[in-house]
Amino acid sequence: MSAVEVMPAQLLAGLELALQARGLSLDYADRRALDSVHLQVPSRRVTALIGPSGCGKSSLLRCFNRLNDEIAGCRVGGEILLFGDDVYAGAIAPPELRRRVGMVFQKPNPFPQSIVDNVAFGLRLAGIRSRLELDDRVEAALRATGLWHEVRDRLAASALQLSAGQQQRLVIARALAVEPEVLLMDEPASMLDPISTLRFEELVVALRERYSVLLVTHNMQQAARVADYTAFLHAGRLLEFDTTDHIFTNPRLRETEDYITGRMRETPLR
Amino acid sequence: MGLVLRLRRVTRRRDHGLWLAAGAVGLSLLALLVIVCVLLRQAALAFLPAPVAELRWHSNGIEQVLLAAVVEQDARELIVRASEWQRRGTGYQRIRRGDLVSLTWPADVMTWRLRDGRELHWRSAATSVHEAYAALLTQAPAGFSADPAGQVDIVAVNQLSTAGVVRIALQRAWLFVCSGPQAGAGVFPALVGTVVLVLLMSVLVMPLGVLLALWLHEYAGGRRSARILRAAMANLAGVPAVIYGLFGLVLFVDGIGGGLDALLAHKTPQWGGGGLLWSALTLALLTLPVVVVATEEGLGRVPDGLRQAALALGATRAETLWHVVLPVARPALLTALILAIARAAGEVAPLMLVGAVKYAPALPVDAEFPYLHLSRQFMHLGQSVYDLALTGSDAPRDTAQAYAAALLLLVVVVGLNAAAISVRNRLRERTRELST
Repeated sequence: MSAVEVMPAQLLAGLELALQARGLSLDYADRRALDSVHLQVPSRRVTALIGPSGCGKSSLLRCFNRLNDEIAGCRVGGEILLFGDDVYAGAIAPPELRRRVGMVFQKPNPFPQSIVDNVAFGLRLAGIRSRLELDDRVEAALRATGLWHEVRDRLAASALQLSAGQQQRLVIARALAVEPEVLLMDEPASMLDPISTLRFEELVVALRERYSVLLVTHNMQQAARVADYTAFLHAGRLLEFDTTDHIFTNPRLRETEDYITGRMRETPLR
Repeated sequence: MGLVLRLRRVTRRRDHGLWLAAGAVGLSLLALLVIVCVLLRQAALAFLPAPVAELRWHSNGIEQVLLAAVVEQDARELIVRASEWQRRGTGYQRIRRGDLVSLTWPADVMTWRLRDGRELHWRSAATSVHEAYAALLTQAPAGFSADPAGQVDIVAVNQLSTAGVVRIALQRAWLFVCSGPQAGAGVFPALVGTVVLVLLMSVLVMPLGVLLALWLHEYAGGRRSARILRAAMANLAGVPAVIYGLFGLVLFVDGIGGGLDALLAHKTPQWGGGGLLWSALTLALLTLPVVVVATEEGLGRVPDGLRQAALALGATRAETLWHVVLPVARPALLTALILAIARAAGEVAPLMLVGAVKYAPALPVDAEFPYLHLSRQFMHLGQSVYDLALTGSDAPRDTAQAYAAALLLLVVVVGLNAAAISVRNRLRERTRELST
């Protein structure tokens, strides 16, 4: 399946591409998770990745920052470009790549350290030692996620004392602190209560001013609310990619419509 | 009444598992209690001042009089311990009951336990230790000598109140802990040797064990070499301790130590004999499986989300381990240390082959450079228990002191463990929210 069939021609014309997957396939030790996926993620837009459980959304996400490398027996075929640089060709070392492509996970995973140490973690790894610069960038990251006013008085307190919603915004701040170009989000709001989810969605919309966001979600309304583009993944293949409006109002494929309207049964992977 | 009702409710539930579990818990608590009680009782015998009897008996038609403590007695004879004017262990006598004319407990008996472990008994109605000491000098046989500075320990043993008995016993126990073997059976060098040995062992085994566990858990995965190493660890844990002693003797003492001596051209073996370092290394090998298994388990409990978070922020694997995984696993590392200490502190058999001795001329730590003397032989509480109970020159009395040394060893083990546990609990509080 080529890129042409998946998305309308000229859809992303004139837009800078943050990430591109070309003929991407992924094999775990015992099964194939992705099969020749072509995906283009435009810069400074929010792109949602939807699809039934086990369709390979998370696997695809983890190819973009090479987190799949940590799984034994995992093989990747095809190529991935980050602003034109081939990620798997060895031009970018994984730690450097992961600084440019940040990630937020499903379960909030702050380190059992203070709030400020959490946000400064990536900065310290990057070799920033100056107290002043660390403080500035921690504050900037916390402001960007709207957490600054809630935690400014207890920066030295343990991050584990925050609520789940605050923790999730904290780990986003942690990812933003190293100023990545792309932000990958793996069902980041699935563990949050409705109010925290709302705040989170506002945050994502605000982030598109500066970052390219690729968001995996199971929540159709969420995709409709925050995403500019939506990609539908099914059984390891990318079936449809279009503007979010188009996907939700007038999908080209029967499978997409079935999934969006909830008629599709969860299909196990081959 | 309430208890009966509750018991009835519990019995009606017919929860046999509960009863078995409660029985097992009760039994182990009872065993622990019995061990501690036996140790306490026997150790107390070593320190409680024994009342002194005046014995009169016929020997070959001549009436003899003797002041002595009764050590043992049965239906036929008594074993008593009289004053030892010159040498320790010479006061024991056996008296047949048939020969005995009278046995009384005169109130005016003075007893003096000298710092070298001898005991002297004499009669004096003196009210101060000075007068009692003067009376002793008039009654003592020729050739007697004692350090007059110790005369504060003179007591009217048969007139002691309960508080007095306890005070004397505590004094003697303190002396036992704080003095060397020159003075009776003091165990201070053994105490120091044990603690220094266990600390040195911990310093040696923890880095090695943690690195091994890191490699096994974080790098090797299901590799064949990892499986072989795990199996080797499991088997090493089952090897009898004395085999480790033999191994240490061959590898460390003769192999490395002997080689070192040859290399440095020492005329007399310095490293080629048993020593503190070789003993600590042997114990480190002995406890390595415990440390590796406990650490690996702790690494397994570190949430994977934390590793991924660190990696996703651009940390290398080593940075992830150092900055995230190891700090979170710290309580588990301390558990490993606690288990290693518990295993090592009670071990005696291998040490006898690689450095623990009955009498060491110097402590392994002192104020002389380099302060910690790794090649010195040392004394160990476990070895002291063995020596006092079986090979002492003064066996009937020293058996009680063997129990005292055993009790002290128990206290050392519990103390070292308690220290590690309190540190661990403080660390745990910091990471408790993580497990939810």
